[in-house]
Amino acid sequence: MPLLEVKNLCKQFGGLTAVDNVDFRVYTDQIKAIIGPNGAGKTTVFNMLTGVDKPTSGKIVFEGIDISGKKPHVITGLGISRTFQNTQIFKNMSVVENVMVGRHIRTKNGMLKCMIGLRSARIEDSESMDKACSLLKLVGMEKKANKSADDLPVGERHLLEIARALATEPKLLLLDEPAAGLNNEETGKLAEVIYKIRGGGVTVLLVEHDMSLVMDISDEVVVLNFGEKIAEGPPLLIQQDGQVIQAYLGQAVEHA
Amino acid sequence: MHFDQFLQYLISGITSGSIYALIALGFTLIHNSTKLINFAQGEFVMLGGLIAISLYSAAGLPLIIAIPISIILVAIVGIVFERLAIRPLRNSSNITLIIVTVGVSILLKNVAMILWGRDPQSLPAFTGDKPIALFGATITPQALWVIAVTVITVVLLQVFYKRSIVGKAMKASAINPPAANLMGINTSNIVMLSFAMSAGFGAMAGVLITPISMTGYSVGGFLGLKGFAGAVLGGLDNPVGAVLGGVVLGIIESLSIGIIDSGYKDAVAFFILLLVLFIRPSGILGDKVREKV
Amino acid sequence: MVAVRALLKTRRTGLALYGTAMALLPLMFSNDYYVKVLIILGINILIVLGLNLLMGYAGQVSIGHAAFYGMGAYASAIVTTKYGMSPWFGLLASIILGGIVAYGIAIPTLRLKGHYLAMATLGFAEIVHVLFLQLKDITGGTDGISGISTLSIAGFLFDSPQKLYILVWIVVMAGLIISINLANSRVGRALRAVHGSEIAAASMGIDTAKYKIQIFVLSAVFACIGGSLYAHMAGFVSPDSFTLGVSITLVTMVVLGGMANVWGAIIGASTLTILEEYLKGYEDFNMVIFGLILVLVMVFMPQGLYGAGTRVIGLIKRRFKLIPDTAGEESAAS
Repeated sequence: MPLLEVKNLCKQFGGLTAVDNVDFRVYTDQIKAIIGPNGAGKTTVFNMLTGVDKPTSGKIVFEGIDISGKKPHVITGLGISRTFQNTQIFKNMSVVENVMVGRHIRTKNGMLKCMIGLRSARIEDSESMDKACSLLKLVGMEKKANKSADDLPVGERHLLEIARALATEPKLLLLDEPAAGLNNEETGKLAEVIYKIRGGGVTVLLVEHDMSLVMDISDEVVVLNFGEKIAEGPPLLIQQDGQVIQAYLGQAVEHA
Repeated sequence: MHFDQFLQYLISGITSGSIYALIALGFTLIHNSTKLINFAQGEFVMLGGLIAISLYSAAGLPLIIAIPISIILVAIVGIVFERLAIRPLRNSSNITLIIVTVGVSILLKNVAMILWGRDPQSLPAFTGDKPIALFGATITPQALWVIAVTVITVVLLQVFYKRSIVGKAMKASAINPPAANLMGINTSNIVMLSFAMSAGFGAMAGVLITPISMTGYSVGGFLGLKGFAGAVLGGLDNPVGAVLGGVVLGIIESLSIGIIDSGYKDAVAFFILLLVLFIRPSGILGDKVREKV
Repeated sequence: MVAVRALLKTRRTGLALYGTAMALLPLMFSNDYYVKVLIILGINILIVLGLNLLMGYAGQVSIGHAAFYGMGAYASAIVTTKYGMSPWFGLLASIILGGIVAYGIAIPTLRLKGHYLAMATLGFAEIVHVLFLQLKDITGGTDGISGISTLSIAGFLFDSPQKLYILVWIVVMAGLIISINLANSRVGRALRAVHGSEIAAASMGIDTAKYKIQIFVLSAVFACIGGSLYAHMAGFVSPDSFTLGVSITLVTMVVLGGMANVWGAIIGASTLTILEEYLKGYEDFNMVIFGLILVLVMVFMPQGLYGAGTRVIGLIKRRFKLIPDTAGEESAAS
């Protein structure tokens, strides 16, 4: 059984079709990439997978459960977590607090217990703190734990989002252009981090423009163009696909 | 309710609705250029009325001169407001901007109280106050002025948007500020212009309403809120919608007096405001907005 | 972790210091009038603590909290004068009424964002104010309600300002401890996350709607308790005490002190309450100065007095090389 199965997924905004009948599967322990030119519908697919947008039609099945149209926090609870293309870090918190927010869904003390400051709430909190620190170590940011998140450079914002997403203990991690704004060295570090994440038993689905990164780390690639899937397969085959090359050269793709 | 009674309420509703429409227009202008809601909008109305009163009764200027000067002065207040309080904060959070306009509104209101005192004052009607009979109801010449000026303003504004370069630039920067900027439109001047126009429309409303219902330092709050309710009802990003919303709100409010206790009149407008916000925050004619991630 | 422990320790020290100072304060004044001012200050602090959780932490603006303040006061007034019940039932009734109304209004209102939310809360407060004026049979219209009895415990009457002060002080300390606990807890981080990026908060598994509603209700309950205490202190309530101006004053207190900081709320409420007392003689200028403060604080120090203060202290320390040259020290909340 695939971890994630996307069936005939469609999304329309007004008259515009952003995602058109897209199918693909993600298997446990894969690193899979979605690529395509700007406006191909990649982020919209992510938004539907995470409940930010509701699909117009089609199905998203995660571990055998239909999650299409469910609320974001419910989907996170089931084990999908994400990062954002335009990073959405919490600028009003420190770096470590950002990651601790990721622990929210795996902790359970409510308003009342937190108000009174019950012992159980404080114990849970210090556990969250430990977990957050170890995740910061994973992405190599443990030294910045107490800095304000607002002071981070772009590259580290992506890494912080990854640590934060991992704190939710996802089975599937969605990365939306994690290499945007990174230099070569940083991208290299990012690839290592992604391998480590997979090594820890988390399946990775990423949207990325950096082709060398995609071709390097992915087991499989899905290519979208104008909202439609035009190819799917291992990186080597994708690189030789005529339609993909055409789409990336920016020529009009003639659909049958 | 008899027909003539109904008609009387309708006329007074359209009159106050026209005032709300002018204020609503001010809200849309500023909202379209800055995405912010100016809580000080009603104070422009108050200032317009009070300045005209002073120019007329204290300085002894004829109405035809006092009125335009008042409108221009208030427009200048709008520009100063934008320069000193809005421009320095254009990259700030929503909360900051809300609070700044709230602050400016309190400031203007209470400075006005010090300058003009607590008692409401009036202007004479522009062209006499002999009521005109109309199907068993009556309409005052001043009410006709209110309605006519509003209609003319709305028509002129449409022409301004469609025909003039500046109007087109304004429209373009409302739709997509960065793109407009790239096309060589100075969006920061557009923002300033929208504050000037918005303040001017408010002042116009103030001048028009003063002969009917008097103006004191404290009228701005409620008038502003009702103008806002009208704007939301019609669609905050759509000038035509905002004007219609203002008029409709005026009519509903006026008719409600005929049905329920007049003490609840103000609550009716707010009730409608809440209802629209809850059911369709984009208004009847407004576009739905999406957040981009 | 060491840094965190140190932070916890300073937090407790601050709390203890503040608590002692508040307890000793009335001893400095023999005059009842000043003690009454201190009671008002306590009530304001309580309301502003709640409003700060809503505005500063969760980022949801309310320009309508005078409505809850008023509802608390009226509920107490009506229960004690019309039904002759114990003032404690009045307090209970305020909390229940405020909680239910806040919950009902929060569900549709908090779907709105930014300016729309601010306007909706403002509209709501205006409707409540009209009701205070118009439901004459229940609220007494413009005359209000007088003859509200004082609070008592087991025969001990809080009938002098000094005695009532003790009660208010206990309530404020409770509110303060609750705020501090909450601000630095799982729920507090969830609230700040909603403020920082609602979409990311939801993607972290936070039920944003639920927390927004919860914190709105909590802040309303704080305001209602404040209103109830006010009613029993003054013995009299009227619509004049719960106008739009009061809502704005409360917002000013939050902003002036510094949003998203518990101590900021206290600084803001204290500064403005004392300033308001000073300006009583110049009533006309009172609100002008409030307006000016709002604008100037937003333009020149959006972090408020607390934020500006910590920044200045940081600069001084750095100037004299007391701490190594790093930025962003003031980030962590209280």
